[in-house]
Amino acid sequence: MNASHSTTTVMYRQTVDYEEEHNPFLLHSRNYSQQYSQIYFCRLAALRPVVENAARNKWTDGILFRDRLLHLQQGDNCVIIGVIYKEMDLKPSILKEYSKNPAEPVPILPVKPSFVSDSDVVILEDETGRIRLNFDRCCLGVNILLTGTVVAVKGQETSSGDFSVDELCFPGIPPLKVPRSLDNDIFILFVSGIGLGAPWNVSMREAMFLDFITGKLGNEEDYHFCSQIGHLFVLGNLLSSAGDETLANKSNDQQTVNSAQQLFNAEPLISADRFLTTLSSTIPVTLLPGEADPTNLLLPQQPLHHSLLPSSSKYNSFRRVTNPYQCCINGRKILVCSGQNIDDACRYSTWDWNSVENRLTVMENMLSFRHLCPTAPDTLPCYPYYDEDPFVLKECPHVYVAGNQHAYGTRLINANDCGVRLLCIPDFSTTGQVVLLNLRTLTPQVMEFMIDLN
Amino acid sequence: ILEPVEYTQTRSKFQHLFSSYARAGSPLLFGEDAGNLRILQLDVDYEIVQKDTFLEDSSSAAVLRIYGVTEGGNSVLARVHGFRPFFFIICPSQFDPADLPAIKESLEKRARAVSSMKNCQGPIIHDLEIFEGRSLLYFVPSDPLIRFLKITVALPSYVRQLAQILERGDIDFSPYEESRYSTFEASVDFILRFMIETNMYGCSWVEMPSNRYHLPEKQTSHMQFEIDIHYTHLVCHAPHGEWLKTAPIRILSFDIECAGRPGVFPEPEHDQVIQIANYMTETGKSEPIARTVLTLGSCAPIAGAKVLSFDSEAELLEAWVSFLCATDPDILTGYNIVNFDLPYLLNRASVLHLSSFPFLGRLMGVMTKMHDTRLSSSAFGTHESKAFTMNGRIIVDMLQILVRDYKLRSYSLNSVSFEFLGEQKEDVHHSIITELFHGNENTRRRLAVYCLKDAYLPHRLMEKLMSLTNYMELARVAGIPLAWLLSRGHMIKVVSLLHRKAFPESLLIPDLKNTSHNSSEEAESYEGATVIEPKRGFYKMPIATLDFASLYPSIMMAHNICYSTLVRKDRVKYLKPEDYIKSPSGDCYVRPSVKKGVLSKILEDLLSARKVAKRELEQATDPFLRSVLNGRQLALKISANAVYGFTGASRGKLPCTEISASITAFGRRMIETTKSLVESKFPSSVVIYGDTDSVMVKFRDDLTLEESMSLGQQAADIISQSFPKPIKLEFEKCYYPYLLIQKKRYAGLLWTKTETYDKMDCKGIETVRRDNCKLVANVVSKVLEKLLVERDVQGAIDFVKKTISDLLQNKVDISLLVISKELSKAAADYDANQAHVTLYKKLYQRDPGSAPSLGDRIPYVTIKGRKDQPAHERAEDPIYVLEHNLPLDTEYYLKNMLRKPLERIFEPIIGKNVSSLFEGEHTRSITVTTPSTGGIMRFTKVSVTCLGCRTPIPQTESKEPLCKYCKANEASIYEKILCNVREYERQYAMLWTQCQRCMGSICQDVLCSNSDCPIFYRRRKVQKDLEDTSKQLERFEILPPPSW
Repeated sequence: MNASHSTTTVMYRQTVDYEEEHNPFLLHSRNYSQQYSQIYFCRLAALRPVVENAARNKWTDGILFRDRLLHLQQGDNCVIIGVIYKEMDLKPSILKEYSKNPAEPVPILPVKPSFVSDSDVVILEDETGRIRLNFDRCCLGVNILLTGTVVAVKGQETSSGDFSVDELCFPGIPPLKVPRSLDNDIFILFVSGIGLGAPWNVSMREAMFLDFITGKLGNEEDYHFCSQIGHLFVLGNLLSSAGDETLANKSNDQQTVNSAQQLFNAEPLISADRFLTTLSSTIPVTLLPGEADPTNLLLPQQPLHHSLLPSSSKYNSFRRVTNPYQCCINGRKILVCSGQNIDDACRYSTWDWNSVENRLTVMENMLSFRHLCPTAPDTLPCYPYYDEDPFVLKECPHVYVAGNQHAYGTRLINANDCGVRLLCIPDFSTTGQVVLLNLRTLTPQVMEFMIDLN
Repeated sequence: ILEPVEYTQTRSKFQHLFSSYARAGSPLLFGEDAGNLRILQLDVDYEIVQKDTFLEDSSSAAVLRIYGVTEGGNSVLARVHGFRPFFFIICPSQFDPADLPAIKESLEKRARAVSSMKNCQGPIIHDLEIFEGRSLLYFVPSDPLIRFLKITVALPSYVRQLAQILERGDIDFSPYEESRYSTFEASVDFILRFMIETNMYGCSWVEMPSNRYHLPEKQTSHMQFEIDIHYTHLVCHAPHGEWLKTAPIRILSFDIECAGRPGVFPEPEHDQVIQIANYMTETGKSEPIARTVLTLGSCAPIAGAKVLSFDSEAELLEAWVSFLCATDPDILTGYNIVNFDLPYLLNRASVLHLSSFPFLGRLMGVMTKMHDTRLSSSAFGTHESKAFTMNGRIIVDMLQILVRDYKLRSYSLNSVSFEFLGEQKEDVHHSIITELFHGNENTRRRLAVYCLKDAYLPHRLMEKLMSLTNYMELARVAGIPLAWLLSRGHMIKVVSLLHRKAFPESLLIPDLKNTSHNSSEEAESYEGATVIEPKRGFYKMPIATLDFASLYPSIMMAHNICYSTLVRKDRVKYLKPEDYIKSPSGDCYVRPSVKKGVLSKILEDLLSARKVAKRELEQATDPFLRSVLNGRQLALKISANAVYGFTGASRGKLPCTEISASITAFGRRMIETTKSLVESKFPSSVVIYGDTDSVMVKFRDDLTLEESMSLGQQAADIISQSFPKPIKLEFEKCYYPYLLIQKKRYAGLLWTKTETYDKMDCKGIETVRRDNCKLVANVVSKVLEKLLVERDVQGAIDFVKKTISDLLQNKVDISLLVISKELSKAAADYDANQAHVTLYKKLYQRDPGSAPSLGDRIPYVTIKGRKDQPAHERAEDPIYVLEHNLPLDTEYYLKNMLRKPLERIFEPIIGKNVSSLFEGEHTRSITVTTPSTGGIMRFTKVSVTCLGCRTPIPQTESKEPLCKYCKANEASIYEKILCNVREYERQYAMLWTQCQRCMGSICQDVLCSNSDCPIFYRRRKVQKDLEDTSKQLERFEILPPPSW
């Protein structure tokens, strides 16, 4: 900038009103002596009244409700409630690998893109037992059903001991408040999958992105626009997962946990710290960990440790949070996650998962299931909660964002006379795209950083 | 025997519960116009009737009972009358047929004098005829016919009694002076006699012409229909063509659960039977007839199964008898029912004074009794087990079948179902069973589901292994009742075949007196099969294997070896030299032109029938028919091979050392001839090893697989010509590469075609022995794979070194180091100190409640201890080891477990250098865990140490995770710990979700205590590891991040 420009205007970044309530995903002490049954038990206990209520509203013809599976009688037309369990041979199983060669250590299994096969069985389970569901008379359902969802099922038990399904009912999207209206446009920015340290390092694009945020890119109009961005969410995979792959190779050779000395290369972490420091000095940043980031693997992933990001962690404007995470900005509830839950749910059906529309449908379904990651713990590793299931949605967010998706996508759904914005944030390292959301109108827009080397 | 009235009263109480399970079947038509009645015979027994009113003279007789099923699924009991047992003696010398009535009279008189025969209705001796024939044993030059007397008596038991009298010479047939008479065929089982006489085979179809049978006035059994018929009217169909079909057979698989007291395996004197699960199927139907569980106390419903609850144990047991009676199964199966479930039920009923319970058979009012049996068989070893009187129901215990037919590391239902069905089974320990039982209707339901699964699995095993089909075919081939296959050894099959073949030729089988031939003195031993001394080594070129197909049977056929062709040494001189063959062991047999041996005829029939079956198998498309034909060809092979064993079995019915010695002598000579022929006809070829019926040839060092195969084929063709038919040397496979360790120990890749190898073939190598830990089997198989498949000697060596290094550094999964042994008798009864017994005592001291009990398998690992503390004292419970961080004695595992088998494998490859595997760099780094209890730890104080360098951190800074020197490396130390946490988290999630899947529930805690499962210890260990590493991670989070 040349000092001769006499008409220097000072632009101030708009500030947002950021409220973080109690974070249910933060773990204070960890205990692993328990098993996974309790989390299903809590989930069922939390959602049974909700789904029963929904079902009574849906089926008003006075149909019989059986309170427990064990009270089921053959032949009667009734509604039963329970957790879905999908028995699928293609799910990764530690036992399958063991049977091949037990001398090997627990192998890191390549996860199949889809678990669906002809031999799949859908089962409904409650505290008292399980029954096999038969979808001969119900065309809908099998594909969208996920292990771990709580549903009400209408139908009857057949002579062979199956339950023949007529219709399904889900808990439905939880209530939400109409947010207060805002006077000004104000934007939040979402980015995911920056993937620092990848072999195909895209440092130019990152630099452009930094320049844009810090208001060094474009013209006056751009600066002005930039000043309206009040908050930045970094949704996981700040570091590249390429490091993970080399680890997998390494562990094949070396075989044991202890020998995998260096999981996270120091180099990318240093550049990540530098990157975040630059960002945090100009805009408030919320950082969620993702699958590839150096924190624990089980959901909810805990905030990255400050020692890994020593410099940026000193900024008050930098928040290291859990994945998933929920906060309230200018009265809008925002639920964000790094996308593992969506990826895993996709493996349960035969839809084309490269289609972002299908992924948005999964997100919408999850709201309607009132659960953030139903497939945990069965195929999605999660912490063995004992007296609650924190992933049960008690209220509906205004904005539900999933990071690290194949492509950008959005959908506005109407729930309880209020719009809910769903967003798929694409992976930055492969697309160069980020997403802006106008908090006033809940209108998103995608921005792409491209470098034309010619 | 209870009065029938009382019997029906008790039965009717629960009958209605099960009426829907009764056999449907189509109604049977009786009378003149009805078609002939045809049943598939499943079992035959007989009863003694004081006055058989069916017979004109109402004399005492044995009535045979055929239990069968019609094609429509009706159960039928055919009572067969009029058949009487008989045996033979050699006529006195200078016998005059006119004396027959006199002899008959003196026999009758002598028999009447015996108290047990005194009360016989009608004559004791029914018939006395002259029979012209020969003895099966020994060929007599000029082969004269001998006159025998055929003695037909009233009842089966009289045969043996009279035979003894005659053998002792305890009778006076004046004017004949002989005092002793050699008996023939007096030891034949009455049922077998009947089956041979009527030409009835095992599991065969029996037809009864409609105008020949009668309906009884009163039913005597629980079967749907009963008829009476004279034996001469039976039409028995040999199992061929149309008559290979089967009928709808009902199979009941069941399992019981008992509520044991803490620490004690359930005992019928004290512990209740709480549940009985039943899974009933009918052959030909895809859905089960019944899935029912009877429970003591309320039980929540189970989808797809019928749950019936009873308030008292007595009612539960009575209801089960009603169930059995209503459903009328032909076959009872289960897992270890013979030695656990059935004895437990019977003993329990007697403790409860339930007089109506022990009626499990199909005959009304016949009590089920239990007795001990002991089956000693050279093929199956000695087994003690229980036997039951359960007329008409055949007990097929899958455990016994598996023990007989398969060699496994473990026979627990868990490991068997993993082996054959590919499923891990949830295993609920008996101490938890009691807990579940005392809970509520839901916990009892949990138990019932488990119990049902245990009833279902044996059924699945039976289907998968096709045990029933195969055994039925064996019964058909051998011509004996199905049940005998399980209760007797191989001999009875040969006895049946021998009788069936010899009798039509008027050859009578002598009764050998036990004293003359065996028992008192050890049977003469004869030289066994030779082995050509192996040239040990690792052969990287193809090794062709030449096999004699059905070696022993073909020798017997080629040289006409038989009882009936064997010439006594002192009589050889009466024969022309061209009329006999002399075996290498010096015994002589007449040539087939003089007299063809019965054994050869049996074998020819069996082998040609096998050829037919194999040919039909190739053409058959129907899966059921295919399984039948496959079972048949297997049965024929087994039976053919049993013939040789029969002649050599010193405790058998008709041992003949001359025969078995001749056979092995021929075999030895053939192997030697083959060796010299190969080596002379194929210059530069070497026979590197030869076993009983095969020879391994290395033709040249530089041959391709294809060339070796064609040379092998040539060699087989050329050499076959030098042997008499039907002996045939066959070339079937090459080993390439081939690791020859010592005799009967080798491994190689087996090729039958040039494209791909068929499998890795290992003989005598540590892969199945269960007194080794799994690590040994795994390492050995991995090493063999590297050596043989990947041909990577260095890779195999590296793998061994890596494993040893991992072992010494404590990185091997503990489940691989576990050895388990059964506590088969009370601890005090063990003489020597055995590891599992010592451990048992230790566990009992710790907690008598949870200690294992008699019959449990005790898993253990060997831990470090004091210097020169014996190994058995260092056995410890793996879970205890995990929980207390006890150090394993990894060197013990290396020295005593791994070293020997690995040395054996590597010695032919790297020679003397083999010890380098166990010494050197990779054995230097040793990690020993610090125990959290006991020993020196009692005197130590826990202080906080730096997570980076383990130096103690001063009290004042005790919140710091790191010392001040390591502080600079905080990120990398954090990462290192995090890396472990992530790996353990991944394992935790995979292991515990897997257990939920196996258990079949996600809402209930996993209780499984199946220590055979590969992840059983791992899932426990990962909890502990994860907890420990998470604690370390949490120390970093105590301090807030530094800020500006």
